[in-house]
Amino acid sequence: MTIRMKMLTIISFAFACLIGIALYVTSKVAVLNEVGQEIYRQGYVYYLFFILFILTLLAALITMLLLEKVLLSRLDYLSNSVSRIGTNGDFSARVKISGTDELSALAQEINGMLLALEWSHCELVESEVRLRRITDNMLDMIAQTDMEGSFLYVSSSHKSVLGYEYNDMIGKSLIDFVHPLDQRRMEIIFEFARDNSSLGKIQFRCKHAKGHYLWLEAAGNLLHDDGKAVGAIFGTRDITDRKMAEEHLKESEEKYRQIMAAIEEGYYEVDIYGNFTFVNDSLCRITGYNRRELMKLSYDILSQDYNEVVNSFDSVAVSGISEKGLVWELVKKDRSVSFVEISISLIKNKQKQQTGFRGLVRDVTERKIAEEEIRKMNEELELRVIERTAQLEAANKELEAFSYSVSHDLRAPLRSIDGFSNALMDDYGDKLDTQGLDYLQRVRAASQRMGQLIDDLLNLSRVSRSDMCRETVNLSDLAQDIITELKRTNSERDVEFILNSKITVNGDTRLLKIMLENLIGNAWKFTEKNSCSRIEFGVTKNGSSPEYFVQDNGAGFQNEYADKLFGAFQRLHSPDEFSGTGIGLATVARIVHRHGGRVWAEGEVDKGAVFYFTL
Amino acid sequence: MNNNVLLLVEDNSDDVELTIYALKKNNIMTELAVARDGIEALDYLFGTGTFTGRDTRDMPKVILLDLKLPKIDGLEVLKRLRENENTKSLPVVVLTSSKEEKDVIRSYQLGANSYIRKAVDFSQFFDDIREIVNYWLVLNVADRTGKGD
Repeated sequence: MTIRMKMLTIISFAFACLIGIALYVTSKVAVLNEVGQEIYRQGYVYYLFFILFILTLLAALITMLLLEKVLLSRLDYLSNSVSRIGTNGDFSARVKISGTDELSALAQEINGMLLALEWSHCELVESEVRLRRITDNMLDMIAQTDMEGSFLYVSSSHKSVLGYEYNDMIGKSLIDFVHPLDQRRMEIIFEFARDNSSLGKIQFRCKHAKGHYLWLEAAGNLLHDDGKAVGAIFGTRDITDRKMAEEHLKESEEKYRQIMAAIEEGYYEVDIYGNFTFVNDSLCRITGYNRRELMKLSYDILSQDYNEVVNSFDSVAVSGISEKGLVWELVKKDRSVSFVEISISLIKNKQKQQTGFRGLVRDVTERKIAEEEIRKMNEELELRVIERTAQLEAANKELEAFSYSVSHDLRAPLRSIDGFSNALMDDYGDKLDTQGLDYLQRVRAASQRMGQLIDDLLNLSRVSRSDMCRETVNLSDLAQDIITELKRTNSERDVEFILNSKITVNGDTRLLKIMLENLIGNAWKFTEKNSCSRIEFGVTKNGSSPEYFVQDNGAGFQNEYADKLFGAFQRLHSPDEFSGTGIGLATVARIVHRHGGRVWAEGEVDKGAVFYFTL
Repeated sequence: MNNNVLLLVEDNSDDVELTIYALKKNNIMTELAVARDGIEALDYLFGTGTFTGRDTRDMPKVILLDLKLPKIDGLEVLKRLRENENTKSLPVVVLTSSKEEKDVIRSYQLGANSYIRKAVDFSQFFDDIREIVNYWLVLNVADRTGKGD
């Protein structure tokens, strides 16, 4: 039964009651009117009306109770249930109303709606969780701000990227995190964004929790409510690496550009057909063409020999091996010819396909000219060397012939002088007085001295001229032989010879023997006035190199003359004191020098001398 | 046949004179033949040129050979002597002023029997001549044929 029918029933029932009561009361009043109208008339009517009033009141009360029971309480329950659900948002609750009238149908409708709401709420929650998960797992950062730029929400990636905890950011202004140099720019962008819903893409530096700055790129949109902008939502990403890479790229491009501009060499790149695709300033300078002209030309301008160019580039293309040091004759724009040195290497793309060639072009004209000059000079020099060598050889031959001649021819007259002086003294001595004999004796002495001088000079020249034949030489044995010979020929002398170590060296035996003969001979000679003579041949170490020495206790010399000893014909004693030609030590010095060694002497008058040498 | 002939090949008359003087002073009685250059020496030994007709069986007991000689030098003379059957084993003493090593080596290579350097000092020269003559004319037993074997 519908609400309307129930209401009609209740209201009809109430009116029926009222009409029934009214009819009953009216009939009672008419009877009384007929019987005791006079006695009771006045009080009885009032009594009747009072009862009628009470009955009507009762009927109204019952009607109200019925209305309350059938309609109002259920409506209340319905309203409370809905408002409770609205308040606590529990879409799983249901409205319970019994019966089959409109109210229970309404409750059922509400329950249906609640079910739908519950479903969509569940979906919403699920979708929000999903969304949150997405935002939290994203490498990029999602943030929401109000219109003042204060953070309302930041995704968890803010922590991993920027190092801040969620609470460190919420409520703070975005601008506070931005690099001071980027703040103004950001503010302008935000101003602009107020009038446009999109913020577009912005790049700025953002402070990391540790204090350094990261490059971020953000894209944002304004959020609207009722057509009014209430905040903004941003997607932000760390582009520091990209920025750095860009920076590096920019730097390296700049470096590359500067190198290209700075290098003396021309640089070219051509495609596989040989058309220039890139040239630097130097190539323009070298070829005389400007950049625009070159870009319309191909590699065959690099040499006036077209085949040379094509063959070289083809060979690089086929073999894959770079060429360098090719010297070509390049015809410049003004038709003058330069020599250029060219290198060619392949350019390949990532798929290893040949896309062209690149290389350097160096103007070597001056070098070529210089080389030509050097070549000519070398030729001349060689000719001159040949000439000089021939002259030197001739001079050497002459010198040899001269030495030979000296050896033979200068000595012969001396022998005559000495021989005939001797014959005079022997055969005609009785015809001369003492002085005459003395003069003859002096002639003989002089000729013999000259003979010795000639021999020493020949020795000296032979020492300088002769070929070196290096071998292991036992100097100790040589020294011993020399001393033995000296002792044999001067048996009257008593000389102590000290030879401590066995000394072997690498050198020319013949020359070293001459050297030792001179040194030991000198020691022998300059100790002849000693009562006891001592000569020592030995070696000392100075660092790693051995120094050999011949020491005597003879006449010695003043140390200040030590340097002069080794010059030819240098003597520190008169021939009357000690015989000698002054060539011996010069010979020693030459032999030592020919062995790459050093010779020096130390001496003290009447104490002796030490001659050191290295080899 | 004179077995005591000494052939002196020497172009320097002073040296010839001094050699004679030394022989005399040493009381050495020997016949001295003197050749003044290489050609003359060869002519003498081979009986050619100015010595055509000389009896070449009559060979000197020793040859004192200077190296530096006009026309043909001493080494060439020595070489030709050694190439010749008749003279190849004749004692040859090289007596020269030179003491160049190459001369010494070459002389021995060509078959010199001895190499003696002329001393400037006459006393030494005097002694040397005496020694040479003593050795080669007195002590040494020579191959009388002069041809070797």
